Amino acid sequence: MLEKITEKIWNFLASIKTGMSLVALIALVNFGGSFIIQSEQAQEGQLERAYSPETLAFLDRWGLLDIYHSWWFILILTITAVSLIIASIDIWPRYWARVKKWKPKFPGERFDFADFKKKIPCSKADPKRVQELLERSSKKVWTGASASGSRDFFFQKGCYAHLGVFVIHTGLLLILIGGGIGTKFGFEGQVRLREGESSKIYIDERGRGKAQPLGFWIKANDVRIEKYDNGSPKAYYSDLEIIDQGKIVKTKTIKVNDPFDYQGIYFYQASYGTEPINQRATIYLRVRKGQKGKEHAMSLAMNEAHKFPWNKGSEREFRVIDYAPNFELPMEGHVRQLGEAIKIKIKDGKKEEELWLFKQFPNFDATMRKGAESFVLDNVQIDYDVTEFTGLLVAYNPGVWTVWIGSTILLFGLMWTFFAWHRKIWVRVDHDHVLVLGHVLRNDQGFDRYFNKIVTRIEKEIGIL
Amino acid sequence: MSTALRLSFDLLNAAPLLYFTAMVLGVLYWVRQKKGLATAITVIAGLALLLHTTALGIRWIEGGLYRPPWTNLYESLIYFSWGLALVCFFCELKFRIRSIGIFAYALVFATLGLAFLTPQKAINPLVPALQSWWILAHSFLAAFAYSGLIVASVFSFLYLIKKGLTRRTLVFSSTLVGIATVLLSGGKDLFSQGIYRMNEMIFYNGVWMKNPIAGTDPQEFYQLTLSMVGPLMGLSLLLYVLAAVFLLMQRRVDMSCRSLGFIVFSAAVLCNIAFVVDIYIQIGLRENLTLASSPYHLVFMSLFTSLQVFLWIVCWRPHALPQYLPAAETLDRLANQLTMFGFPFMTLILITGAIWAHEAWGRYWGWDPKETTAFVTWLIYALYLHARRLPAWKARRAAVISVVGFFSVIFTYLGTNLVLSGLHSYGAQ
Repeated sequence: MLEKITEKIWNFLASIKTGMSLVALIALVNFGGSFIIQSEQAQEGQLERAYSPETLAFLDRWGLLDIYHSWWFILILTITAVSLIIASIDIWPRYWARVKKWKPKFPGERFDFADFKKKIPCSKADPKRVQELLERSSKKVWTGASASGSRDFFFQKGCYAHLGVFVIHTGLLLILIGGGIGTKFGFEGQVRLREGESSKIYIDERGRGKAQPLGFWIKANDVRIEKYDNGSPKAYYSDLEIIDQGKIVKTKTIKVNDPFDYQGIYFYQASYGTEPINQRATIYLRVRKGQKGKEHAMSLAMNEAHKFPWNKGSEREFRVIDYAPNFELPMEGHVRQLGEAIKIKIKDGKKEEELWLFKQFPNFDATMRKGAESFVLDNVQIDYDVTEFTGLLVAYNPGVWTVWIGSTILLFGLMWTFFAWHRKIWVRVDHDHVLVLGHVLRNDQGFDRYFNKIVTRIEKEIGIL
Repeated sequence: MSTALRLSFDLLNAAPLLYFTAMVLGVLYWVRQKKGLATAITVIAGLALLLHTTALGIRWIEGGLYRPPWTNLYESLIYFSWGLALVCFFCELKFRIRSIGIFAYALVFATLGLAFLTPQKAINPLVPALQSWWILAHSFLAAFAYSGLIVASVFSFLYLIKKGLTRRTLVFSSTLVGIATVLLSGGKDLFSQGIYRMNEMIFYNGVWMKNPIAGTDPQEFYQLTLSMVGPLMGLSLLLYVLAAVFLLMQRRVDMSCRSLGFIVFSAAVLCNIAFVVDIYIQIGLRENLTLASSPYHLVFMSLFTSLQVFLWIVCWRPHALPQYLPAAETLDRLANQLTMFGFPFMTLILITGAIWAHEAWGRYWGWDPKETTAFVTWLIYALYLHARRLPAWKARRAAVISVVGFFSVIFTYLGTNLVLSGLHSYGAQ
């Protein structure tokens, strides 16, 4: 019973129709998948812009946003791989028999199997000379005799063309295995480095943005862009340095299409940009004693202690300790935005006081606090420097060589199958004629020429020409 | 502009005329098989190919060795049409089959015509992503893969015609192609009162960039208000659907030219031609808007509409055509041989593409739409090759798979960037 089931499964997976159905299924899934934005390629916020929240939830629930890594797609690929193996094993004996165990069947009197026929009338053909001639074309010439007393010869060429299909299947299988290894043991991530910065972690893209250790330091010594005369980018460069256990072990300038690797981990130039650093705020404000005193305009930096201008000898001082580009005041049910604001800390010996100032409301401090002095915030100016940064793609894929080897084998197999051809030639030397028969697998145009060549040679040999 | 480059443009203006002549002579040859005519076709096509090759060569020399002439849209159109013409010319010489030329040269002519209308013809410098040796191998091979497979599919299609399709089957398949044509042409703007939207971003063989003719006022440049196009498109779609419904309702296998289904189908084809011609007229009337606004869109539309015209002729006289065709066995064998020529190239471009992607982006396969559709094409022709091993599938069904493959190739080359244009930026960093 069990054997029967196993046999049924085996036959099912070995059938060429199953294989074709699976291939058609993969093609259909791929075709459909190319119409849905995949989260793998989607840029920031692209999915949200393209689909409504309901559609997005629906797609996500059915794994349609990451089709190519979904369990069912991997299952289809796995079944296809298994089917590929089983089908190859299943057809092997038949194909091998065509190559090795093959014994020529010498034709009786029916020749309809042959694609090419040529009857040369000749009464004094010498079978031995014909055999010698044929042996010049092929190492192995089978001999036989027919019932009518004729001498039969047979030889074949290119019989190994039948085995090309196994080479192709092996290549495909290796590519699939390589892909599996890469998915299972490899990683893909990003490192973003400013000029002069170094990092020992990368942001894992497959692990939803988790930081992972690299195992060494990578440092960007220089990041730059080169432009064409018309201003469009010509090249992005990053001078990279690997520091392992305190020593610089490798340096290279990389650019797009020219990555480098350390311990199998590849670094690619993925993006380039500039960003502000060393941000400094200059705060312009006015301060007066009490609510009515003379106004003093001041400009100061963050966290810089200042005495009040009318009483420099006193212990009382103030400093700006916080800055909000847009102050948010939580109200019932919503947030009110109050614009630019700074936080001031006033210190008088042990006594401390904190207050917020709003650019929008110049009288706020004078009317609300009614303290020993009142501030008016005029402006906040932010200065910064610009630094270049490089976005590196970090990838480790142990399966990649398996894929390359598989690809090479696949190509080799295709060439073998498509350009090698199995040719069979029979020659019968009878008492009043010589009969040449030819049969070919594919490429019959080329065989036409080959067959005629053989016929001409025989004709020459037996002295017709 | 240098003199050499000017010469290259002149040659590229002359070549399409010669291809067109070869195509017209091909049609004549179909009806009257004179030997002199056959020689004339070969000579004219050969001359066209010579001019085409020279123009490409000049462009390569002008751009420098590191910048092969297939790195932007204009060059891509020129280069792929060259590949197609080359494969076709080779088939003519080797297999002595002139009927293939009509289709292939028509495609070459249409593609070169579109290249002619593309405004960005300068040799622009390469963006960083394209600065690689692999662009030489990868894109170079792509022309042969696509051309080989396209010609193979045309042979399969002719084989199906030769084997005798009923008019009903032919008309029904043609209506389906027609529905696809209108849907692809119209997109989501099909019913938008004739405002025919043009793409803001255009795709230049590997990179998205801003429309070079973009002005300050987006209304003026990106939208083409065509009062006729929208209604005509809608009408055409309606007629195609109606024709399909009539055909499904009809029980009789053989149908005459006077049957309702065929008449409605003919009207649909007329509408189809009308809206495409209308778009060209409208574009021609405007100074600022040339084809570059959405070239792939228009290539697609024009090619599919030409196909539709051809299908109509076949549907009109389904029994007249087969007698001019070579023997079914010959067509079948040629389809197989060309698939065996194109398939290794298709495999090669997938592999070289993977190597390039590995070098540029750190992954050899990323399920990008372009990669995916190329893979689908590969799978379809793999199916074809397997189908030929099954006695029941060997002949007709294999040919049908191959014809499906034709659309897949077109979709891989143009459709990915057209239909999915808003979704992905293949090649962009």
